[in-house]
Amino acid sequence: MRKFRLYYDKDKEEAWLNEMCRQGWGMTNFFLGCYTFFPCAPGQYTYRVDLPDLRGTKGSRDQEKREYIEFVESTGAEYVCSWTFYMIFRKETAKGMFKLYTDAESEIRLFERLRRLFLIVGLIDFFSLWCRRQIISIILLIFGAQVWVRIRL
Amino acid sequence: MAEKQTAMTEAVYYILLSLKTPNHGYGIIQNTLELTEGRLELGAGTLYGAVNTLLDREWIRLYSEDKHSRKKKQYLITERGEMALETEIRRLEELLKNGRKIMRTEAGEEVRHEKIQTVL
Repeated sequence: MRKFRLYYDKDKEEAWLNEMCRQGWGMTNFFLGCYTFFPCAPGQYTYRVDLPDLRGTKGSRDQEKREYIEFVESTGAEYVCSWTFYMIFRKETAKGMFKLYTDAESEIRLFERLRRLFLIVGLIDFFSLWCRRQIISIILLIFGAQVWVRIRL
Repeated sequence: MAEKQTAMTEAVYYILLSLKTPNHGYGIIQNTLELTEGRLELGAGTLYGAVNTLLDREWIRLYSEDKHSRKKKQYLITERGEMALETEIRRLEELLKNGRKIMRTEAGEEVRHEKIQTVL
């Protein structure tokens, strides 16, 4: 099953994923706001959204991401999917509590990183919308000119 | 560093204690669980962030890296880290001493008064 949702709030996204899981739908993938669900036992997993503070230069960051995923998995959780460094993990509810951030300080830093990401994504979206309009108008112009030329010939 | 040391978070305190001997991420979580008798279970994200901060401050260092199994990165406390831990322990001892002095003696005196009265 697929569902389209856009979230700008990590807590609401988590709550929704966990509610879907309670209803027997476990999230397995997401891409551009499109979430894929597969049947699971109701409440089988606890979902968590993460944006870790990955270190390193551009090249070593992917390595760092793999290491981070391996580390989280070593604590009994399961990596579900990611979009760049925005990741989703889940853990079987039977294996106990699942929290990635267990003190206020680290959770505040997580929210700061999320806010920065959404700000950048928002700016890019706004910019591309503006660009696309230019491109569409150019395409329409060329297409219109061709049609006009054909009719005339 | 002339920087004044502020109170440590519980996570930082237990990470430093866990790194008196070389240890890896999951080992730190397990050790903290044991020391606190199950009270404090460090989240992976919290631990990861704190370890990076401590590496930046040079309170801990990378001890060994297993090339075959990437998850076995081991860390160890540095001299600077031990000094920070000593400072924090002294601060905590002061808190505890003052807390006990004020809370326990008042309660203790009441108990003593009652005892004296029952004896009389």
